[in-house]
Amino acid sequence: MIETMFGTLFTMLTTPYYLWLMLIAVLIGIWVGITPGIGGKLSIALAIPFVFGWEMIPGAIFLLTMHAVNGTSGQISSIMFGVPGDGDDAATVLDGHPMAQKGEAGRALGASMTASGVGGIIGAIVFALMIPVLEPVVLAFSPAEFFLLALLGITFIAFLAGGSGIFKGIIVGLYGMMLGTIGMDPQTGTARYSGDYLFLWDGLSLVTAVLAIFAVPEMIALGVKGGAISAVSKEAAKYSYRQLFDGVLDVPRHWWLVIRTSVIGAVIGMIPGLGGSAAAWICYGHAVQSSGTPERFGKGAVEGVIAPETASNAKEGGSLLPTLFFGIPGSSGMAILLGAFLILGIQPGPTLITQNLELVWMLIWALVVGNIMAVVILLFFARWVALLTFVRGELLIPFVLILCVVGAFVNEAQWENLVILVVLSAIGYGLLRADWPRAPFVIGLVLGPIAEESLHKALALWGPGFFLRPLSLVLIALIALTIGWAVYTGRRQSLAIGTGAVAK
Amino acid sequence: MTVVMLAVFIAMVGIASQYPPDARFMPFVAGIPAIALCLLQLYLDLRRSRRVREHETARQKLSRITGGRIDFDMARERPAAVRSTPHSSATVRRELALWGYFLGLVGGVLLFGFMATIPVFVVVFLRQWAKTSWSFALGLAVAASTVLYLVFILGLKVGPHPGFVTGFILERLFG
Repeated sequence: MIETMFGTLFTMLTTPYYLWLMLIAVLIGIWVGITPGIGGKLSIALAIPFVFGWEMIPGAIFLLTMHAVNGTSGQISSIMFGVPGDGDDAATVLDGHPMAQKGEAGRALGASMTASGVGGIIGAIVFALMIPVLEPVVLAFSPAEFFLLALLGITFIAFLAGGSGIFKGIIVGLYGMMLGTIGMDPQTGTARYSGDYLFLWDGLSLVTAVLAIFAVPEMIALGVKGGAISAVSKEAAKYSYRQLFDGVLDVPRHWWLVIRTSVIGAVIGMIPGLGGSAAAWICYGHAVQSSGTPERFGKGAVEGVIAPETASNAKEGGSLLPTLFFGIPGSSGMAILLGAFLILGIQPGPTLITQNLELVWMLIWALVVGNIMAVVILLFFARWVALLTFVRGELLIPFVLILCVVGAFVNEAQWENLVILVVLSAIGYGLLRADWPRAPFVIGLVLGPIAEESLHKALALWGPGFFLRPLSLVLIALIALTIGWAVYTGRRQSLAIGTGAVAK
Repeated sequence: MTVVMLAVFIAMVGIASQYPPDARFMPFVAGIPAIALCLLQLYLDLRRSRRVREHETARQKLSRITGGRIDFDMARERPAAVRSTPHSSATVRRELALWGYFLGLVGGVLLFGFMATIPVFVVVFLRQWAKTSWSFALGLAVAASTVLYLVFILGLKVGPHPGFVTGFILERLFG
């Protein structure tokens, strides 16, 4: 394993093609992270048509690097203008923006970018350390467990919807699974739900589905609400490099906090269903609790910037672990990334450890090198990158819509996919407008065929009693516990609202 | 949404029932529990909307008793469903307009192909929706068409959809 570990690093650093790809991915990731209206999930969905047909390793490196550095640039608007790019960055606003208001924007940016980079690297190291620990566990899984893991994946992602929303999430996940059955049935050769339409015999295009469910609805929502934050003064983007360097040095000054929050972030990332923001908020809370002077927090304490930033980037390494080895994405962003990996031909599961460890290490190094690149670029150019925040969201809409239409067409070169794009976009927008989660749809669509194959294998091997195997029972218990916990918390919330009203 | 989902699942399970046993197995495994969950969700939705109605009735009754002189600010105690902001008619108009643009783009690509539709779409959207200047809109339209040509046609070697009526129009115009 040591040989593969360093061999892949050497290959990555000595192959200009990989380095160029990563540089482009980092630049796109930075742009996506800071531009209002385009989130990490959307960027992966839009990048899928471009990487379609690429070889497995370069495609995966490109997508993962782009995804991993989103958060590093997202904090710029949080700190400078008090406008968080997404939930992960919201915790950074608490102390980052007060620092900027005190004239310490450069220090806050230096600290947050370095902390993000270091967090991303430590997250990748935690992931690497977990491989030998998890190897026997992953290899113990049989088709029966992989079928149940697909259901568990949907349940975990549905759990992100929160409380009683879990039912909506599971329904959407099962809908994805249902659409995953469109096409020729591998068992009987029956054309399911495709009638005489030959273009459907190979199944629904995953690229089209992802673009339709995520990208198009997001653009329409962006157009409806408008997405510019240009009301903020551009003067706020000015700071000195001395300040920036001082912020960089804040990270080694608080090295113990950095290590603690990175490890906590990576571990939270490994637990599917906790969601991305949880890592940042938990670590912010940890920084406050472990500080000797907690009263400084919320007024511009640099530890309040370092802790959430290390955690939110470290969780990417952690969440890659269940995504790759069990097919259970740790977050909705990872759910789309998993779909993209499948399009590239990467099958999650034990074969990655037994046959494709090189790819796994490449991905780990992509996280490390990508984060270093992003930090270096941002430390030098953050002041100009910040100006991207002033781009009007409305100007992006036609180009993203064009990318969606082109993307849906190019992967199979069939015009029928444009019709599918419109139909699924309507469903996606309906889900968004009704506040139903959309990520479980991708999981269902991606894992549906794998689940079906595993189910048939499990039935052939053990008959209908396959779910009585010990590991299967553990997974069933986990599914039941997740649903039970979601229902319990949902009921508790509604009771609390009722009690509050009565007490009043 | 729940009703739509329920209808979709019932239709898909109904269609699957005509397939051979092995082929309908997975649609049943996903579809039947989904129908059950949709029914459960429908019950939850109905119960929530009944609570909302009861809450509104109570508020109106209180308002009647007090002659509307006291404003009962119950926003914080209201059930989640009441708190959700209703979609105003202006929002619906914007949504419909954006859907119009999107459908126009897809329809244009299907009828006239990518190369003809994309610059027109960019100009129309930027001028009408984003209220940009002609020069800015035209500049971005040229840039978008160039990128499309360089990346997809020259780079990825993808033959763009030519459009169903483009050939017919060109034939009529130029013989």
